[in-house]
Amino acid sequence: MRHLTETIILENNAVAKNIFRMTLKCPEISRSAQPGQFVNIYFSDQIHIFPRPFSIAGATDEILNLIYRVVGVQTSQMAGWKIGQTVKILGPLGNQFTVDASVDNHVLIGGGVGVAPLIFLADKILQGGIEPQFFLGVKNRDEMPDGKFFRQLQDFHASSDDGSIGFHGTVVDNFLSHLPGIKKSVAIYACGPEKMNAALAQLAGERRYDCQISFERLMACGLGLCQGCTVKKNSTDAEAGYLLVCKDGPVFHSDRVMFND
Amino acid sequence: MIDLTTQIGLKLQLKNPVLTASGTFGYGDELADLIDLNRFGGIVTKSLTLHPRAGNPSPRITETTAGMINSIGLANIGVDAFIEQKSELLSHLPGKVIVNIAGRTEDEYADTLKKLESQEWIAGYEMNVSCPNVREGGIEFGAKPEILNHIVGRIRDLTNRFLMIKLSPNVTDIRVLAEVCQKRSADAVSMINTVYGAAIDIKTRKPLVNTVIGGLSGPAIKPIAVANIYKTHRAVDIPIVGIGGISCGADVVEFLLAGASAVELGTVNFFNLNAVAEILEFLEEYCVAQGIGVVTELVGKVKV
Repeated sequence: MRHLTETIILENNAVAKNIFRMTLKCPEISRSAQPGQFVNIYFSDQIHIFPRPFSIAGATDEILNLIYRVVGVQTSQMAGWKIGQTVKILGPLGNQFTVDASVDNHVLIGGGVGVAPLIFLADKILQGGIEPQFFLGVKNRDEMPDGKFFRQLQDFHASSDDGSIGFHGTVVDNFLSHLPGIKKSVAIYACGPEKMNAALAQLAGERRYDCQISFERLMACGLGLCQGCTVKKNSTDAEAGYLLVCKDGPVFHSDRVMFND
Repeated sequence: MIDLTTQIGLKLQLKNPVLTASGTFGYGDELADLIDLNRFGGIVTKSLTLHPRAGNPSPRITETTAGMINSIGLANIGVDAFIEQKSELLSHLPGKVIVNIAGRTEDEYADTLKKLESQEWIAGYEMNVSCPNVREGGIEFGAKPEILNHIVGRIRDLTNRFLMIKLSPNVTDIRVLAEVCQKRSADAVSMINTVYGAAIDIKTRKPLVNTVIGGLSGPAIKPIAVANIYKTHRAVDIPIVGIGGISCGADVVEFLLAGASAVELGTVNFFNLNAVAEILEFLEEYCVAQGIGVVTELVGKVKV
């Protein structure tokens, strides 16, 4: 059930360079939120009119966590929001990652701020008594979120483009370097830049891994009204059409959609 | 208690002058859990075409100063699926349902309308002759008086229901086109559809919507809408339903004063889900403060 509500900020801190975590008291949304879903934050601004969508990075009873990167006017504003301030928020929106417990290896692969929904997903998988494998790639050490987010993960692997932290290379290459040790069935859950997503989709296709990817798109409404946030269906039929990231997604099985559209 | 009842021509009575604008409210059912649909005087559906349309490739939208540019390309489920899937909910709404129709050819408009005529719950039609984002159809029917004259005449002959023509501001003189609609016995005109707009990413040098030029909407276009409504109101006798950048109750009053009999809320539905409730509250307060008992008294009452 979606709720439009005013929530209170409990915490809002930088966790890496330009990356912040906001904690909100929001039982209406947190109690039903699932990993992969997102919320809209509304701004009373007539110049930048769109609400902004954010992946849910955690939900426990009354508490909702968001992790966001400062990229523009709205997120710069958000970085300055204080504890106790109210925020107009709508959610939970969109679909969710689905976890098939019969799979042997659950591999979470995040790029940059794409870590957000995966932290939530890792919590859920751990609660189910399964130990997930977590790969996170960042540009450099400064952009690696605080280690406390990953403390409970036994099988966490960092990488950076410049080699300043963890494996030197892309998160996909880091995952590939671990593949020889992974023998049985694999399910991939990913969120990151388009290039990472496309590379994973190709890999998953070749090796027949189940692969779910959470997409990011500019959205005007987040509700399926504007039809703006499309991803092309994977089909040889030229008229196959589009899926909406806000409503049909944001999580799609990698074989259902086209990349680099 | 202020009387918000609004009569649009002879055939359409609304309990208040606030409708949704086509293409910004889906088929009316998407928000049933978040907004009390009964607050609207009426719902105008997304444009329907004879066959389903996938719409344009990505990117379809971009945010611009006080607005947005879209190039959706009339993506819709087609008239048959609409009747099959959406009739149940829409037929039970206490507000009026206006179905927006579009087509690539005159025949497509006609065939779409004929199918909809079987649905008794439909209060009327809005003809989209002003979509800027499709290669065939769309604005080409709404830019030339002689072409508009023909298609409105043909559609008028097919239905006795309320028929409103949605006009584009991307023309030399919108009044000439409104006059054609009046001559062809349209019940009303609605204006404005989106304004041609484009935006370019200076890093990639690529256009920010797929068709390069798309339709600009949002608060940025409100003054353009008010100007077009004002001049059209002085040129024709049929009612005008005002559209274009409305985001609050004060905007609605402005539209009524310029000559609109009712309004449609468009882009605001994306960024303020409480817009209709806030607008109705403002209208009541404004009328009380102005000593007006009936909201229709405001129509065209700009003091010039």
